[in-house]
Amino acid sequence: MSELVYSVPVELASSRLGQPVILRAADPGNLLSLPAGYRIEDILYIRLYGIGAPPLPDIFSNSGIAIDYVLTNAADQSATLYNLSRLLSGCDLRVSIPMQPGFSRAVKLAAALSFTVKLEYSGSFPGMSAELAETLDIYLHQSTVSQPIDFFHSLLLHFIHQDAVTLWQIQEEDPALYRQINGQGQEVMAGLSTRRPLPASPASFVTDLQKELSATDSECRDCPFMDCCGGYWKWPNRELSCAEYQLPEVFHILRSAALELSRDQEAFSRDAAGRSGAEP
Amino acid sequence: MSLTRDPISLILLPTLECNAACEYCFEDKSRARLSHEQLAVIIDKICTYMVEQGIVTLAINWQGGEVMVLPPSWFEEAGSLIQEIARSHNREVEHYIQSNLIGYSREWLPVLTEMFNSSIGSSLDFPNLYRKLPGGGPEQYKAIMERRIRQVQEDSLDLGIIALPNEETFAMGAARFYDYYVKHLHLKSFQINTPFAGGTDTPAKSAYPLDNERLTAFLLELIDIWMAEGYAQGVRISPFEQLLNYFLDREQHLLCIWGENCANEFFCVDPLGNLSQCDCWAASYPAFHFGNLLEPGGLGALLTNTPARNRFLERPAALMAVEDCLDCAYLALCHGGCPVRAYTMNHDIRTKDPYCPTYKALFSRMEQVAAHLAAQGGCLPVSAP
Repeated sequence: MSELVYSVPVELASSRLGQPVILRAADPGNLLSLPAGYRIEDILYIRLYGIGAPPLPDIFSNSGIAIDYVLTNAADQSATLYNLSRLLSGCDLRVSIPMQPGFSRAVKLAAALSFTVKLEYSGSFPGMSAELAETLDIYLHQSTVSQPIDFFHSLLLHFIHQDAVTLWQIQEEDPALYRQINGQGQEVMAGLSTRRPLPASPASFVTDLQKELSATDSECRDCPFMDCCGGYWKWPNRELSCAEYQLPEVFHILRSAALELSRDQEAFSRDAAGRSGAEP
Repeated sequence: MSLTRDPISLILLPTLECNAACEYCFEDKSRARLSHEQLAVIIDKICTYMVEQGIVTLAINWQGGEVMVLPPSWFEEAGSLIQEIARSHNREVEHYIQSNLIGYSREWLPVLTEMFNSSIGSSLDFPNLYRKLPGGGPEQYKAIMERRIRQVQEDSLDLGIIALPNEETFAMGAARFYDYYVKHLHLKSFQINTPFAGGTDTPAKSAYPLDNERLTAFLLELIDIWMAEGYAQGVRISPFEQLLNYFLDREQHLLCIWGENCANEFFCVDPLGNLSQCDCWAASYPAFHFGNLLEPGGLGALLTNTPARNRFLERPAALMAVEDCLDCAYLALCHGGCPVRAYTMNHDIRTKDPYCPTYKALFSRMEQVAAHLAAQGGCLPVSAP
């Protein structure tokens, strides 16, 4: 995708008429205030905040449009995920879970309810590495997990296919591709750090950040995952130690899993070819 | 919160009268019977609700009491009535029936063929300790049931049998259990349920819930026997088959005791029109009724505005707060298990199923079996991993 996508509050949707958007709403009922002539096809997905909101208006629930439901408090709201699939029955649903204390339990429940999950980062906290490790283990090894848990899933695919993608793109936060219009109509960085103003050169922000960190930060300079990480964890807090939070380990584990999967696939293809007498 | 799945499942009890006197029955019986006029009101309200929700198909699971205390003609008329009402709402209906078969005769063949797709479910335990006719004993009941089963098979009906294990089942062992159903009764499919002490207390129910360790050992042994002797030969044992399909990522329908929340899957209507979660609640726990469909008002209101139903809807979230379900690797399968099994053990619906240890062991074993089958690249019989 190369066209710039804006995340806009539904009240300001008219400012982006005719452009691909992610619509944000705290109350699904507000979606009915969309201006006349607004094309459903322009809505990439709807981002809803807060469990307990009333059901989606029929025009949206029947349209097949995808819903991204954001838990604003992972520890307190996770149990109410049970209501979600009924509230949004028939919709393509993803649950976005902020990486706050207790997020691993919210992920466990969301995965058990077969929701697609997106982890959202807004800063480190004590215990984050343990919860990240636990969540990664669930994603990779728990056989009852049937839906992607991002960013793990997209990183795994990156390691398998060796495509050029960064964590910024996976998280939909690369300002070259994704931006957010805040409640005051200002253009800011997408993601949970929405109070951050847009950088001076948003189109080259990630590349610039990578260059800067490679030059000034020994962790990043020596990191084998700098290409796909893009310095994601060290923005805006340059002081964060990736080693302290065992972040490189997450990439290592996913890369190893990708290698293992690729080898298994090659072995299967060889065996299948051997049985059929064909070339693999 | 409405029921929105398609098909919508109804457990319909046209009568609470029964021709048996099973000691462990969870229903408090009565002579109540549904009239066709009342049936029409109920079905019309359900079809109206289905239209409102955009649901096309209604699956009616006919149970009792004992359904065959009503004559086949009752069902013939009921079937026609339901079809007419459904057609008027542009809906479709499927019928399933569960009977003790005591009243079965060839007189039932036309309606079973026409309305129930030549399929019927029943129950028989091995050994039979508690199923009896009034004034009779378990051996007499077993003999009658075995004759009925042969009759049903000779009449080319598709028969599914539910078995409840007991302490003597454990003593006899899984091999004898398996041989009884497969080799003696010539059944190709049967199901094992876990018993619970629902309804009025009886000496038989004092043994429930069964000891998890003994139950687990029995079931794991049965799985080994099934995989070694029956799986490749087409013998299907529920819930093992469904769990295997789950772990092999095949289409499956897990038992009602497992899943996100049974309150989202089905509801029950008794012969007086009372709405409840299922037949396990209908006859013995009036405090858990959602309301009455024969009174003014639609189905939607009873499904969304009643404190009794809300208790079922809120149960899984409540379990996450008080039980250890969130720490379980099999939460996605179980979600705390069956509310009636939890309630009859703990008198609190917000507790997990007392058979949790058995379920965990079952899930783990079937996961291993599935992995073994997948590694072998197919459905070959395997010895226990």
